[in-house]
Amino acid sequence: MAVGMIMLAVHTYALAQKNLVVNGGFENELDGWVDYSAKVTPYMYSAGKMSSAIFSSDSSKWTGMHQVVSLPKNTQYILMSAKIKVDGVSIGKNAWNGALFLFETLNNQETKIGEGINVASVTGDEDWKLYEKAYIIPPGVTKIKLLFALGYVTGTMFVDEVSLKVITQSEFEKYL
Amino acid sequence: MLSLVTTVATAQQTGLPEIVLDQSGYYPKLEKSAVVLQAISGNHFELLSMPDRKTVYTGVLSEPKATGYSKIKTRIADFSAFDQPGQYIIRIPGISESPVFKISDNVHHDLAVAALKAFYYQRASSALDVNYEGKWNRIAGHPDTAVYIHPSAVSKGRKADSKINVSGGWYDAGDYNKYVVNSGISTSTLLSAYEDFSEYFLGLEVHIPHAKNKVPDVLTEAVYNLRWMLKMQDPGDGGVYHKCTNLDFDGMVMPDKAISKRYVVAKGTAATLNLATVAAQAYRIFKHFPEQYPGLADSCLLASKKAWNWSLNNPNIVYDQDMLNKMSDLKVTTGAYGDKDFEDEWIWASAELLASTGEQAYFDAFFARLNAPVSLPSWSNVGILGYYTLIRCEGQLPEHYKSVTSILKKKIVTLADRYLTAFKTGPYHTVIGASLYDFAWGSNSSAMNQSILLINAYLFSKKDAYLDAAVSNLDYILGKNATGYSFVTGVGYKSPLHPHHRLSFADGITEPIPGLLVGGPNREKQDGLKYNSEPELSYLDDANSYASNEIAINWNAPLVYVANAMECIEKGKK
Repeated sequence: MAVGMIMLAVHTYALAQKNLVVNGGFENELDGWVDYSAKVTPYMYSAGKMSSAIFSSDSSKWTGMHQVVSLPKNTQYILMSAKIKVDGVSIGKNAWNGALFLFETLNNQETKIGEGINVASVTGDEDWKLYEKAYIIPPGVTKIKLLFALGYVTGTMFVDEVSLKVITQSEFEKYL
Repeated sequence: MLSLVTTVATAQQTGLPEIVLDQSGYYPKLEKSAVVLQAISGNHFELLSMPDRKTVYTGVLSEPKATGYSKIKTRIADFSAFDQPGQYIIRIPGISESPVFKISDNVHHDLAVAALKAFYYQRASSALDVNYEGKWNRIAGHPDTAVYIHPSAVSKGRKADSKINVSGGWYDAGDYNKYVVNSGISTSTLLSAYEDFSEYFLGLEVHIPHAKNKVPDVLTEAVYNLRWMLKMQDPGDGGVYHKCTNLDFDGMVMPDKAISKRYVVAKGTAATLNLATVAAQAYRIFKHFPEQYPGLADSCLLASKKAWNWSLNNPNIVYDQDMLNKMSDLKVTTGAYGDKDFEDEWIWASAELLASTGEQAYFDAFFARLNAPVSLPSWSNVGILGYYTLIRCEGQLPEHYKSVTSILKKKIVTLADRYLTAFKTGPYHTVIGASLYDFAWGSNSSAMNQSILLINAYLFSKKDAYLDAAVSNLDYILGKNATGYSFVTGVGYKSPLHPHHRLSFADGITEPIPGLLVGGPNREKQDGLKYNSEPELSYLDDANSYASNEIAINWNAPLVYVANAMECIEKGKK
């Protein structure tokens, strides 16, 4: 019994540490990502040897990539993070337009629940910067869709070190 | 020198008082300060005991503080270190002495009683006896025993122009209508005051009629409105009518002279969730009074669950008065209390039902909304009230739900610490007034709700600084503000005489009904009257000034909470 409890604790701890994003550092090209315009580049990165670059010269378009991450059963708290660098990103018509890091919550059928939630909207020029969002998983949400995009702006966005980890409640509270 | 002259001239033009302070007085062991509003050259102040005029304390004035939003500059005379009970004045060379004030235990007892008794004065459908109301006694008005179903409120079994009984309840504000959404936060705030300080309230008498049945007066009064709220629920489906109202506001006449046809209007999600919330909380309280209120607790829980289920089936029914008026010849022009975002109502209702039942479904509904930010409560923004409840009831929650309260506490402490900074650095040494945006409609109720948040933070953290900040806002509404008014009728040496309040206006009595908190400075001036241009002076003691001088149950309820909480905590009964 005691061994079982220890194993459960170790398993929970391991889950709490594991990055659930596939290829969050883009070292394996765009493996794991649904790409509708992103490219990997070896010329600019925050860690490793690669990052993802999203470029747009058309401010009427949404240009980006996403990955759907399945959450372990009964996940309650997660931490999402990514490093982002932007070059010459224009200002769009709406305040939220920019180089975007956002996420959507999905159910088992991958149906979106509620509205997408913005983690970052960056314009202009900015060096690598860490963006994080601690989030409570509402009942019924089993997957998270992470999106990076140039949302109705022009310019270049680099993305690296994308992570989604299950965290404990006490870790979550550090972000309040 | 030139700037000094300019400042003085400005002060004289604005008619600023010279030294403002809490006209009720101060507790010996808590924060004590006055504000100097006139430019002076010296840096010291003295506290003189009265009537012997002996100097008992000398202090250093703060450096002049700019508000950042007005031309007014302040200096703070902080005498918190002096804790001897007695009567005193403040003397500063070059300006008039302050009025006499006291330092004493129980200094806000009379206020605490008056603020609660004000709800008795607001009772609809009820004659008020001379033995309880004194010169403010009156005959009954608005029986509301035969109120018409407005076309917007028609349902199976309740046709347009049929009649129902929705008697009782409190008049909402300066008018004679009754609105469920505003009743919700008001009634709940009284019930929460009882839950937080139940032992104290067992001993508090406010001289209202009751059956000598060992029910605290605060509950006797809350039940008067609770029973009305229950009547506003359609028993056929559980939905709740938004309001009981005339088509138009009454004239400034006494209730028995206001005889316009009354209607219940449109069911809505906000009103229904408000009933779900208050009835769930009432169940938790009144199940301990089975002899005095047989069956009430169970009725409340049933009503709450029916309201919850109606809301699940009707999650987005907005009360849109303009749209309703386009669809009916019976146009309603009284207060709308329209609210389009119900997430906060879901938070509050799920928290109350969780606290009362421990059921998973309510936890799930609450947890699903835990990412949402919370902020200072108002009638349309009630989410944080659910946080207070779950923290208060933490001990009764099922074990596996308890841990969530640490998140709630952290969110509350974040706000409380922000208020603490405002208190320490603000121009009036109060939490309210640190920002221009504080001076909106009902600003005084914001002050009281800030204090409730701070008191809640104190209750779970026991950090005394939160109490000092909480009491500073009580000082503010009782006179330590730029107007020099105590904003509670009948309390202090300079209080409103002409509130926008039909009962006080039409009764032919010079003094307004006591214990009522007026709205306070409101830089938006929606009533179109001419006010002082400075935000913190944008107040008029004028019966026409509904934007700054109306009274309202959702403003008095937090005053009841704060005044009684401070009395209780200061007595060390908690």
